[in-house]
Amino acid sequence: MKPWETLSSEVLHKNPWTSFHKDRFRMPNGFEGDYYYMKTPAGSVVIVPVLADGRLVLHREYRYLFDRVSLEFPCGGIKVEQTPDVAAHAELEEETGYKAQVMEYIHKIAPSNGMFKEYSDIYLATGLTDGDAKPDKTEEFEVVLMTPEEVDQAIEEKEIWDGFTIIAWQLTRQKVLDTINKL
Amino acid sequence: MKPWETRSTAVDYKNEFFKIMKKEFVTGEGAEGEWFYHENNNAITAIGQLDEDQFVLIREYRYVHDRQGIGVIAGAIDPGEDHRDTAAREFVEEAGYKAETVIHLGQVASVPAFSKEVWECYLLRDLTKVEAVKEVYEEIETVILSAKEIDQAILSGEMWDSNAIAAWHMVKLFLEKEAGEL
Repeated sequence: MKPWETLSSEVLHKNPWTSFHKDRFRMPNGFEGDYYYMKTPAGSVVIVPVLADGRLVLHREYRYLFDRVSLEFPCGGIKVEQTPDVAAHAELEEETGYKAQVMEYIHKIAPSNGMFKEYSDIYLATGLTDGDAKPDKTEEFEVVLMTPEEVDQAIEEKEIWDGFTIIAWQLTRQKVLDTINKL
Repeated sequence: MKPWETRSTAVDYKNEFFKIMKKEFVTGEGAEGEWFYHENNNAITAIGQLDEDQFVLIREYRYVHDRQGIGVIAGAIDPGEDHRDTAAREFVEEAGYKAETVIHLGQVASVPAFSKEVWECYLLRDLTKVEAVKEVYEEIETVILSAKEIDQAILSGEMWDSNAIAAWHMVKLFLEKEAGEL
């Protein structure tokens, strides 16, 4: 599979959070077409926080676009001036109130890679100490502590439907279970 | 958690594939703001199971990232189409397999802050090889992998798309539950 050639590129729309782009491309077989995609300024982070007793820290959040409450791991955009590690610490504290002594990088994935030009870094947070959450004015969080079995069940029962949360759990589940088995 | 009030909804940009929408809102606590998002047809992901430990996935090139990877069959639900039919249709078109058994596993919102798109996840069984009917812009190779090989592809970064990884997680949960019930 050979790379496609970009013939031209334009920004269709830009707001403080995302931009929308249109590229004219040419495939190796000569086919030309238009490709539309979204971009964020610096990507995002997802954090799987694990307490010393093996319970996981999630939160309930109202998702405006779906008019529905979503059960999620802490997640958020990386600010242009932040490193992913700094963003992970900040998002964890803002959304749950917990601070992490250890923020372990686990993996990098691309959310919906056909239409979204972004990478998301996944972290496992341990050594947690409790504090006050600091949501911004459009965020409302309710912290929920769950066992791994309860997280599995919440996915099965569709209480968890956020893609970032499902993937972060897929990538950390075995590591969390192995850690709990050693407790 | 109180629902938010929508004061206005407008199309900021649209083309034949998607719309960029703008909503003006008031949160349950009274904060006001604007929310921009992407709206298009919902879509499906489908993983085929040939036997106990042989799964049908694809290798594809992703223009947006200029990168290849292992992915899953995916496609938009046509207006008025039952997403179960979309999964079966896309599996014929892209992978070249007709499925007798089509199992719905759940749904995932891949980027719920910025897009209303929902992916319906399917496992397809009782597969018969047929001729694939790919679009000219679909550069796809069918690959057959074991569960261990798929897990390894995720860990190595060869499988890096969120929709593919979420679809595989749904399949694994279903298989674990099914094995427990036998």
